Amino acid sequence: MLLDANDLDHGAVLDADLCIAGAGAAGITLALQFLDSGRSVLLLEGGGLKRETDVQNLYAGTSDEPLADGYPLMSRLRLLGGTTNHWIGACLTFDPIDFTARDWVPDSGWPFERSELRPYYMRAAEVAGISPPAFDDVDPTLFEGSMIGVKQTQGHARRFGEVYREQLEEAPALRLVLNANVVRVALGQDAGSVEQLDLATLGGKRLAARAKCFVLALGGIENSRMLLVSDDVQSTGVGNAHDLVGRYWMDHSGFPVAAVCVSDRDRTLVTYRPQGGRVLRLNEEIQRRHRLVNCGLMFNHVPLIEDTRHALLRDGAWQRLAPYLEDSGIRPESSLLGRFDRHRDDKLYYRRFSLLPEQIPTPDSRVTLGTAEDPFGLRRVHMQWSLPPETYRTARKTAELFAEDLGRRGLGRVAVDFDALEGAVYQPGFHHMGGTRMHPDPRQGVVDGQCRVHSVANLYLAGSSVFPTSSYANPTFTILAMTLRLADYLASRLGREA
Amino acid sequence: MKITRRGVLLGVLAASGGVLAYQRFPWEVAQRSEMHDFLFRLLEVVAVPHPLKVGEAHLRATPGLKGQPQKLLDAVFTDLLPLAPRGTVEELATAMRDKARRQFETGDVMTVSTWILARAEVELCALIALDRRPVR
Repeated sequence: MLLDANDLDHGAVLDADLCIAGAGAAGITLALQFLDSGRSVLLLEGGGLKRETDVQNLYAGTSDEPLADGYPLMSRLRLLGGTTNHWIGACLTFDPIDFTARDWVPDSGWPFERSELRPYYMRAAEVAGISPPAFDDVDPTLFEGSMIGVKQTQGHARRFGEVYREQLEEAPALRLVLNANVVRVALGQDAGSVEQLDLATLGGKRLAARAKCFVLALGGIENSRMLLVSDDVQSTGVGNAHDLVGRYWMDHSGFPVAAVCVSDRDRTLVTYRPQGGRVLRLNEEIQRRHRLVNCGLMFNHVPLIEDTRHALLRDGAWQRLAPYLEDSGIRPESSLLGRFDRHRDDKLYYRRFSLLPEQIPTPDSRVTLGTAEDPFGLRRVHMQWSLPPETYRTARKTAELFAEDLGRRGLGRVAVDFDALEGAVYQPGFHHMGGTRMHPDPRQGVVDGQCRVHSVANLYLAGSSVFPTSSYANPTFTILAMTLRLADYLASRLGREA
Repeated sequence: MKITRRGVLLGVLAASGGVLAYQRFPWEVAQRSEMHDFLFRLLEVVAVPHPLKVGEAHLRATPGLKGQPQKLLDAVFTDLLPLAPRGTVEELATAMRDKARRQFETGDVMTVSTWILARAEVELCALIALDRRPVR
């Protein structure tokens, strides 16, 4: 059933077994798992069916450099389907090493290994509309014996609001409520459980949602913000007894500062494409040996391809040889070019690529509350993004090792503008992660291994805000897998409690 | 020296026929266009990107090399020639590729003008850049 909070009575209270706040990739995926479960589900969405300016402006906030002030507003979307409405659809599994505690990466390690997520990645493929994902490296022969692995990316743009709206509307036990903005996570007086979510519409109505279990799936920024602004029972906010909410926030940063030159016989490297294509990265043994974080190498969308003849001529060979050729009476067009044409199969191809290092988790990179308030009187978000210098070392070293590996095997040569890398202004990837990180120890994480807020018995968080580390891979596919894992757990819990 | 069609053809023939066996190839001879052209062809087959940019950058960073072309020739070709008995571009290119791979294996690489290259490749580029002639 599809409802609009604007049409409900002021003061209405909505009840369900499960209340999910946020109808983006995580929220919709979670709701879909309960369609035939016999459980009643409330799926709350702050936006409507279309993007509307006043609704979208609820996401406005401020940022410290290098992020622009417009970042919180522009990097996410508030409508049914959430940020999938500008998702390019790239699906890629995280690597096993992303889940591992690495002594050279502070605060790394997930509460489980990637194998735990494997069956959920398989199910996530159905949700994302792709073939089963490849967990192992593809093209093993191309890089056999090398330090490079190749991951396969799949996917296409998929607007979850459009794709799944009908299913959600027709589900008898599910109510999808649009324009229902969560404005407070209301804890009981013992602060040990959530009593209700307070809701509001921009038209001034106030409502409430009550359930046995609550899931915040508001996104990689808003999950933190909602816990922080809900400070009426606990002054530091919900689940923030150890000052962790909002910290360890992450985004991907790409450094488009490198190029690869390969000869004709190694053209396979040039034809790699980022979308529906492949991402290269150093294998785990090399990462361990050099104490590097995970870093992808992705060829840019627009290839720059030249052949040797043109490259040499542009380098000045033409001008330098021309006088002699003119003296000899030989027309350059027919002789010089003709001679190079004999080697026309030895073309060179140039292609730019980006270095995509995993962001090293750091508590100084965080979501905080600014001074400005939104129309509901809630403090707007203020972002502080920090990339530790080790990130640059990883990007640089990865490029060097990549260059040496290609050179050793005669596959090509690599150029990296190290000056540009050192002085690069971070370009965020709009991949919000962290802020409510997962860790079994409440002093080190906001949620436990099942994504439950440590101090609150019935409050769960879905989405990339729980990621302890970021990999280099696009996060959405792992969001889906993690959400399916959470769905199984919640189904089990609700079943027990019934 | 005036270059004629015949001279160019002879030069190319000489170059592709054995780099004049190198030992008989003093720098003054190497300045001739046929050597220049030969080096370009070698670079082309070896597939080194942007040779002039790389060579000029290396010469700027290593000013002492400008007066010592023989040193560069020695560095690039001395251990290649025994591997190229016929002295053809293809033979030398194969030997050059192998040398570059060995240098990548041992970490004997240089970053010049943003390119990460084997030392021998950089020196080959420097030879090209050193043999600069005025543009008319």
